[in-house]
Amino acid sequence: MSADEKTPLSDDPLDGLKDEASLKAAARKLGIEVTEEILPSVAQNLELLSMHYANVCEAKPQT
Amino acid sequence: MKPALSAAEIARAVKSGAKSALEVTYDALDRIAMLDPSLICFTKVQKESALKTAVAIDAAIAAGEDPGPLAGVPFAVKDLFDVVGLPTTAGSTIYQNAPPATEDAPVVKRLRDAGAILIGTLNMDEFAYGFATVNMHYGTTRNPHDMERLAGGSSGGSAASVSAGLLPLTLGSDTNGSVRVPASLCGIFGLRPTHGALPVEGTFPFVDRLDTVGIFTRSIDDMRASFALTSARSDAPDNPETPKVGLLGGWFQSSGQQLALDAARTIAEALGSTGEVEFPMTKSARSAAFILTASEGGHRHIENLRTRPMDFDPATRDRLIAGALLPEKVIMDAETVAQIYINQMTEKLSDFDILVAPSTPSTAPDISAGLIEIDGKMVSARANLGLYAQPLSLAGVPILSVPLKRPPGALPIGVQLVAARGRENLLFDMAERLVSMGLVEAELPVRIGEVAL
Repeated sequence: MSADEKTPLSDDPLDGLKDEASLKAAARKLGIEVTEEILPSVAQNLELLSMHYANVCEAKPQT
Repeated sequence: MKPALSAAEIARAVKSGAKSALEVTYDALDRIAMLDPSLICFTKVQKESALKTAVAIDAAIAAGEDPGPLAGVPFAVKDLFDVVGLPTTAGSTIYQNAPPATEDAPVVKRLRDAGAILIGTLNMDEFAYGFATVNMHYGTTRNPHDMERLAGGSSGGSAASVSAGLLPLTLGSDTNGSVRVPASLCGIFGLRPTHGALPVEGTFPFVDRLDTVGIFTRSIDDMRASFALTSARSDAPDNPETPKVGLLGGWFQSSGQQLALDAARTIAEALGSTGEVEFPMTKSARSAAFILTASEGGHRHIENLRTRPMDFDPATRDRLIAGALLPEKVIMDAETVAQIYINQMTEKLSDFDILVAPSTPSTAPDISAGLIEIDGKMVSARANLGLYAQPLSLAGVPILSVPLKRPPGALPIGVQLVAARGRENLLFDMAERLVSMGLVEAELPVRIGEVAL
């Protein structure tokens, strides 16, 4: 596959953060409490980072 | 109100006895007292110590000594530089009661050793994470050219105080564009030097591989002199007879306001551009920089995110938490793409002397909306004003944002001049050429609020 071809995102490493429970659990592992109050904003920021990761994958050489 | 003279003019006047350092310092303090309550550039003003230093400089001159090339020049620094006697807050309240610094950051010391007088510390986005200088603890820094608009960030206080004529010289920092963005929106010169050319010791870190100390001035002579003094680098001429200049196309000629794109094209053509240069991976490289910044920032602040999350600005905190959560695979892929882009840029900069790109995708946005238009969509200014600055940061090359001369009433816009590592002097020479052509000028605002300049 050339660098110009898109990487399939089926094995997206961010999948494990896409539901509320797993996001909270991952944060707890780091010692951070993601409360209900801040959850939507953290999730929104993760979604933005996920979009950026998709852009990264467009240019990443395939191994 | 009389704005600050240039640093060169002040030093000449002080050394010749035409003005005393004390008089210059009182003038700066008066301007700050008059305008800063509305501009919100300063986090602390060190009135007593500034006046004391000024008296010492005048005494040295009276005794026939040379206080240095910046004798009596008032300057200030972003509130992430260590300054003796002050806590280094990095724009947060978390560190407002930290023990005061016992030493100046080396760049601050170098300016003081050259005779410059430190007036105070300047506002910024919390932990330098933003392009807006919207700070919930210390206030939003206003753009001197239109008080209802953003100054840009994260070194917004540094840029606005020079733009408003409060001071001739300030220091900021640039990780992803935090010097070039506010320099563009405030209409002044802003230098991101070669990574490592100016010591970052004694500054609050953000992303080690990207952090640089930066300089703001209204005159290119002041920029050249300040860089020479702080970098301790020789002032060797670097002015090829016919520099090879390219306009960065693709990503850098799309998405933003037409006026920003045209500004870069005008400057490139004036410098004899031989055509457009494409970096096809720029979208991915910008995303890689975004990810690497979020991750390193998140991990840097992890202890405070664990123990006192409610003391952060929520907008900063939630970006940092998301960054800290990124899996290792995401970081490694971003690293890979960043390195490929760095190699591409390094190769291009062995073919070209100067590359040209817009500094920001738009002029200063309204504070109340906090949005800019990118590809027809309204997006956060705080996160996206660095659209063209952020990817170029990866290669660690020097970049100077120059202010385009404006028609009356128009808002400022800047253009990035990019050169290979260590070629700051070429950037200064090109900027000088543009000034002499009448294309580049750091014009003062006609008035700031109710005060005419």
